[in-house]
Amino acid sequence: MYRYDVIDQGILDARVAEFRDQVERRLAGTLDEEHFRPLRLKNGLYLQLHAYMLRVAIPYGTLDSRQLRMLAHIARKYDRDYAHFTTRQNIQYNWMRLEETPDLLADLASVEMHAIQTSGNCIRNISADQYAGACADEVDDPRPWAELLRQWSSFHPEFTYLPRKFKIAVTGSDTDRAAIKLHDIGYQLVRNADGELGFKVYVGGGMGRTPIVGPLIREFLPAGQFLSYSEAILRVYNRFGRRDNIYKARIKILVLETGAEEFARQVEAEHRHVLPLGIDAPAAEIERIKGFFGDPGLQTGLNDAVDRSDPDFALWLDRQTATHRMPGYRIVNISLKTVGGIPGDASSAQMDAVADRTLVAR
Amino acid sequence: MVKLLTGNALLRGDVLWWTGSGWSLALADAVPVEDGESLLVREAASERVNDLALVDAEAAPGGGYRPVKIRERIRGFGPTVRADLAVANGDYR
Repeated sequence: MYRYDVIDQGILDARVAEFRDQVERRLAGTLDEEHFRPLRLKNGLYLQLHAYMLRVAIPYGTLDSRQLRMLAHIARKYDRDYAHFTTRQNIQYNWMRLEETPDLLADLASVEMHAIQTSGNCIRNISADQYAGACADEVDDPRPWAELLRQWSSFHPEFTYLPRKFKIAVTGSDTDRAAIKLHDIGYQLVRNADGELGFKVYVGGGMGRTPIVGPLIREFLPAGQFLSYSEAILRVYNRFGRRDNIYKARIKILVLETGAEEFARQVEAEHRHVLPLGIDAPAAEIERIKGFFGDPGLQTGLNDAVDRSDPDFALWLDRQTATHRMPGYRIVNISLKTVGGIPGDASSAQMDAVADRTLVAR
Repeated sequence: MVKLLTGNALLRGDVLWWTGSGWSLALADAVPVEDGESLLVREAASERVNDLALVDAEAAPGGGYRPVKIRERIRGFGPTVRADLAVANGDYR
């Protein structure tokens, strides 16, 4: 798990204090809704049909038990004892009280979580393969690369007012569990013929009213140019993406109308300007980040032999678990699709139960 | 076609309906408004109710009024799933 340093924590704490002041002024009537709305949206607080909704980011879908317990606590204390896990690895609380939101955000900040950039036309939460770091079929762990993107995209001043929201996903596997081709940018970690680490780059995928499978625009991007190339893609989109029609504003429309080949040419041209700026992370920084995602202390020397004599257990094993990179372990899926229930909803008790049984939950 | 005045409460975002003299959580309490635009402007100035809107409504089969559009009906009747989460009827303060 990545851990915040004092600078990260300081930024977050200051942001909570700032929002507390904004809410107090709104409630006191010295700040009207027209001016307050963009401020609350910057903190992930929407006003939906029936109530306020807060969307909290779960970076690359990774939580530790301490954080999951806090999410359960928030559901109990501030919401109606449940929350909704989304397909893009966020969690949403659907029944918020405005005056309690600053306290909620302070609770979240105490476990290094927040709701910043979960709304608005900016780079949203970076999502990743839910099996990242555990599966046997990945070239490299996508989480450190997603963390690098998270740091690069957080409060990026140039990309705060894009034509439309922007979603990035990263996977290290040939099996696209992260749905990277349905994202604005999809990165797949690969190795070239010389064994060097890099990315396949897909741009302009999406769902919604215009579903598109994103085309490949770069067969092999050296890993060391990850951020500068991302910057180049965003710059081309920020310059040429449509702002006249919300339904045509996503990058998928720009890529579709421009043509993937021409779009790729524009990105390459922009990249030639960006690369010399030196914004790519030094190798030492990438290694530092990778250090947070090391082995969680798995036992070695185990084997995969399992007693399958219980047919129900054998069925569960086949249907709800996946191959782990470490012999003797399995990846366990916990379905949030209950019969007759709302897919993605989980009660605070369910979240606590998962947190109590796991070292790391994804 | 009559108009109902609706909005969302500042504190909790609850759906509110204009009763003629104030706001209620219950669609059953809603009354058609005349000269709705000036009422909307007046209530908007108080900054206590967000997303104020005049919505088209018709007589409901059991009495009272109901919105014409499905979006507003859902706002009035509560979530289409988890009916237990619908806001309890009652006066809004």
